[in-house]
This record gives sequence, C-alpha cells and structure tokens, in this order.
Amino acid sequence: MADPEKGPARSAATTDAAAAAEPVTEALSEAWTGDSPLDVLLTHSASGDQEAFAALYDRVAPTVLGLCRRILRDASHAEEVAQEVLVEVWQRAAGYDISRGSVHTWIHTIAHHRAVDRVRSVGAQTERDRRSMVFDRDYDVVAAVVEERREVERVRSALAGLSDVQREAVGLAYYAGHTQAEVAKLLGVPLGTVKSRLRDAVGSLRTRLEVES
Amino acid sequence: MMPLDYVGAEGLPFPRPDHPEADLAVGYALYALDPAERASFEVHLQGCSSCAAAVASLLVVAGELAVAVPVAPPAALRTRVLDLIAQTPQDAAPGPMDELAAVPAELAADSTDDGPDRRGDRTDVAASEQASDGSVVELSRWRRRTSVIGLAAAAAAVVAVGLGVRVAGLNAQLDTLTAQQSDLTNVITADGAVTASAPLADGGRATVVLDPTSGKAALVAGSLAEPPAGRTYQAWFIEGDSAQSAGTFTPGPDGRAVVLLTGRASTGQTFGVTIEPAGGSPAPTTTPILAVPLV
Repeated sequence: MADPEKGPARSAATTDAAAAAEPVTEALSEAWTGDSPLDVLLTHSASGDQEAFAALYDRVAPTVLGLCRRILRDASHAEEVAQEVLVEVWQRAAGYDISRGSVHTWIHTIAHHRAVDRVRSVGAQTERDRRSMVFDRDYDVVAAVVEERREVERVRSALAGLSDVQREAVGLAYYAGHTQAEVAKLLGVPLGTVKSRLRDAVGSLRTRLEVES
Repeated sequence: MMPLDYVGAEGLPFPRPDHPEADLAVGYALYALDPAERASFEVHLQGCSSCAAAVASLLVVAGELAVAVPVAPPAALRTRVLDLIAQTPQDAAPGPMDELAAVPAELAADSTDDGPDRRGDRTDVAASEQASDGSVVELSRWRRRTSVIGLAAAAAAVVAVGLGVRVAGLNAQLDTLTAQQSDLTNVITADGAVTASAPLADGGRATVVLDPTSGKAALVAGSLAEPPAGRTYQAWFIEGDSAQSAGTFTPGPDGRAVVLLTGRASTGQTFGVTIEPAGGSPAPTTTPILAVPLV
C-alpha cells in the first residue's frame, strides 16, 4: 500500500507504439496495484479503463489459463479459450453484479464453462481423463507471490482430503469437463453412485475451504 | 431419484439434509449436468430460493477449484488480450442473458453465506439495493407473469422448459416484442415440444425448439460472431434437397440470439443456419455454420 508502484509490471502496455496514442488514458488512470480489490478493478474496467483491466488481467490470467490448460490439455487451444474468456470479461464487465457473487467466482465460472464447452465440442478425452487429477509443480513459476502459493496449496490440500473415489469423480467432472452421466460410464458405476460421490466431495470441499479460511 | 447409499448432504448448503435437489445443485455448479437437466434445473432455480442460494455457494467452491492449477501466461497472451480489448466495445449495460454463463440472475439476493472472502474482492449487497438496478425487479415481474407457464412447462418436455428460462432471461427484449413473446411462449411451452441442440464453432450452443403441432419453432443461440458487413444469418428448414427459409436474424451485441422462426417445420427435417447477403437469399448459398436434425 505504501508504494503504489509495486503492482504488476505494466511494461507490456507501454513498450509498443500504441501506448503513445493513449497519453490521456495513461495520465488519468490511477496506479493500479496487485492489492487493488478485483471488484474495484472490474468496475473501472467496465468504464473503459484499460489500465485497470491490465491489472485485473495480471491477477486472474494465471488461473484462467491454468484452468483452460487443465481442461483442454492442448496449450494453444487453452490460450485461445483463455483469450476469449478474458476479452469476454472486458466486454461484459458492466453486466457484472456484485450481489451475485465475487469477481473471482464470476470469472472462474465463465472460464470453466467456456473451456468445458470447447472440450465437449472437440471431443478428445483420453489424455484429459488420465491427467485430470495429476497436479504437477509448474505453478511454482507463477506463484512467486506468497499469497498465491498459499491459495494453490489451500485448494490442493482440500482436494487431497477427499477419498480417492471422490477425487476421481471431481477430476473427471470439473477438471476434465465430463457430465455426471459420462463420469458414470467412464468409471463403470451407476449414475447414483457418481452423484453421491460428487455431492459428498463438494460438501467436504466446501467445509474444508471455509473452515480453513 | 435418491441413491440408495444416500447418507445426507454433509457440508452442503441446504436447509434440510435430504434436500431432493442437492445432486442437481452440485452437478449444476460443476457444470456437469446434461443440457436437458441443466435447463430444467434452471427452471427450478427460478422458483426455489434455497436452491438458488445453495448454487451461489456451490459455485464459490467450484470457482476455488480453478485456483489449484495456475499456469504462467506467456507475455504474448497479455499483449494480445490488451490489444484486443483496446478495440473491443463493451456492453453498456447488463446483458439480458448474462445469467446463462454465470450465476442465475436473482439467486444471490438470497445468499448471505456464499463462501470465503479472502481477497476482499466482494462485499455483500443488501437485497434492497438491487431495486436500484432494476434488472432483478424486472426478472421477478417476469417470473410472476410466467408462473402459469412454469406450471405448464413442468408437465411439458424438459428441454422445452429450459428454453423457457432462457426466454425469462430475455425479458427486457421481450417486453418490447409482445406479439412475438406470446408466439415464442406458445412454442416453447407447447405440449410435446421437441428440442435439438448442437455446439457452435466458437464455443456456444444453438438450441431449436419445435412445436410439432403448430409447426412453429424457435432458436436460441450463444456466441455468434457479428456477421460480416453486408451479410446476415439466415435460418432454414431443410428436407432432402429443398430448403425453406426460416427468416434472417442478427445476434445481439453479446453474440446471443433468440428468434421465433418463420415458416413451418416438422420433425425429420434439419434445421440449418447459413450466412447470406443482407436481406437473405431464396435458397442457401453458403455452407451451413450449423445443421441440427429435428428429431
């Protein structure tokens, strides 16, 4: 807070010639930092503040892209969908209603739906199924901020607290984009079993994530 | 409906441990319902504040799962996105169908406990403040008006009911299109209405609802690009070699379209959409961007 410039680098927005065409925007914008609340950044984005959106981007792009990558597996497809999601966030910023939930949830919901829509339309499955619950360590690259690393670990440890069959069901449904019926088919178990595994898993995650917060 | 090994909804945000909709709410939040299930549950959400509040809370849990797998975005992605937004116009006001992609519109009004707020990026807004927005008020007005429809739809085909919700989300547009509204309503609430759905190239879905009795049909589509200058989308009912025009349409600024189709359709035909010169063509001149058999 003491240093308003300690936010994410804004160099990408100012290195190219386009920046020269926007001196007014630059001069009027506040110095957005990594500490600015997401809803404040989104509100300013909604009124066309590209600097605020850039700061918002820096905050959410790693999770948006990560989720797309996890679901789609293919790096270039994932980037494509992540790009669409982030541009959609810009477009629809004015339509965001804080009373419906946090910015965090709103953006992740859009990202999850778009990535799952894409993977369902593409169809390829084996790789995403196999990998749906394998967590590698590559997030360390981005998790330079202690706060973010804590977030990642918090969610991963909540996942680790699930039973194996619960974790498997969550992996196939959420991280691989399968419907409950598809999960049942893949696992060769009755649909009711999948539903109860998911229900118990989500109930447990909800308890763990809230208890630890 | 309930699995035999049901042991209670531990940790789930439902008032009763045996809430019958718990599985659907969980599947909905995980985006793991079949399209028909999803659509019918959206109808349920319109009238069930406890499910609506639960879904808001469960979506927080689902949103948290996204956090577990971050990837460092390449600098080129940042450049592309920031370049794109610099030339992308923004929606001026809440899009009429926002709730399709996120939390159903009015549900959070009932939710006071929707999860952790670690980043401080949200605050609870008193339900009364929503009136200043207008959209929530609008929606409940629509809901009252359509409560009869809701009853009729419950007895009708499940997917057709889902379209009812999508239409509910479009109340602002429909208010200015009263005549079309009643036609559209008749189609989607018709007894025995059939629906067909297919993904669009860029990620959204298109759903057609056909009332076989009247032959009237409606289209709901998301994520349609603006047609090139001087061009329009045109819908067709295709049977064998012949295609009958079902009218031209333009998606809204959010890329979505809800259209009462012209002409008469019947099951066994294929519904198609092509891009045609403005004003439409007597017969398709381009390869369809969408073709859905009307089963």
